[in-house]
Amino acid sequence: MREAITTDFAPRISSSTWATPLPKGGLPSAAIDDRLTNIRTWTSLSSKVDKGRGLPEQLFDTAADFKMFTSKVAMHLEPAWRTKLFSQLDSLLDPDEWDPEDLPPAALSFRTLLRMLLLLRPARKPGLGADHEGHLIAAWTTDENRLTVTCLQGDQVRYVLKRKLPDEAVRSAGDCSIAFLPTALHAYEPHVWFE
Amino acid sequence: MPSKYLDDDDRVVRYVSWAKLRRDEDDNVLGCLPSAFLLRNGETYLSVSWCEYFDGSADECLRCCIEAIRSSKIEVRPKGRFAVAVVGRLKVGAAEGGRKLRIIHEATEDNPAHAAIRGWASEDEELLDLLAEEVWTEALSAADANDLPASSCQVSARGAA
Repeated sequence: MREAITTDFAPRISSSTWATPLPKGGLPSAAIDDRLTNIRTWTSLSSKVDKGRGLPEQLFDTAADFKMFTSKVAMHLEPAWRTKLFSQLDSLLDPDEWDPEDLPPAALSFRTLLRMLLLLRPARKPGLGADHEGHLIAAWTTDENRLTVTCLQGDQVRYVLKRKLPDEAVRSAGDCSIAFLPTALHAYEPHVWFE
Repeated sequence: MPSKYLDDDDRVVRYVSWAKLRRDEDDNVLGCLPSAFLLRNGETYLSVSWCEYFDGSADECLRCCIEAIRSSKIEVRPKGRFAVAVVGRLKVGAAEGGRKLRIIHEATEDNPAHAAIRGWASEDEELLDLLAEEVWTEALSAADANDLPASSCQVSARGAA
């Protein structure tokens, strides 16, 4: 039976580390926070799988909801990026491609993804994917440099990366908040993925 | 009946759905995401199919293995891929993460070539990422698979043993 996504993913870092200064200009404005926080349907959509509806309908509604949520912060997105994001969502949530054993992505995962992208503002946008538990995944790949971020609920992410340096390849993984993610990635020169 | 462990030279195939493929922002497929190799709740092993269960050339075995997956209960979709790994490389890669894998032929009703990878490190995303990049290196599209030579897919002597 499919389980509802209700788990809280506690960060492995202490809350005090969240106070690490973020890149200048990288934080989403309070207005963005307000818009994303106040969307009433986030919570209701995050914890239910409607077994009364078919998978195609669920996926269609999921894509429509995600686009609606995105439209709430549309003024903060470049039009070309928004168009690309919508195209990626349509592709990812295509009922002809979706594994029926997988939960459709949860709204709270999309909220984390959107807030993370507004925070990082990467010039190079990620490829999108998902796991079977309803989490969206953002993946950046530049040659051998790989960054994969699983978007959990509550602004939490799980990242795994490989960074190819001249003399060695470094791998790392961790759980943290999106606020701490820039700091967690800093040592790995994230411009290789984002620029 | 004793367990039939796969040889290090053998290959296994896992179907990977579109959502679990590593892609760029334009949806070009670059490989597999670590999530392609996560166990679902209640799963105790990673399900794959064993190429050398079948007789024939390497490509014929691979084609037969993919056809076995297509004929199974797995819902193969148009843009999904068939990820291929060599058993020995899987074991070595997993050993880097402190895991000892046992890869065993365990036929199922719907797939006689089914094999189970036991001891899988589903919770270790760093290891799954390494394996996705360095071991599951080949990810055949449906068209790639259809271009492989077809055969009558006779069971090999080892498969029948």
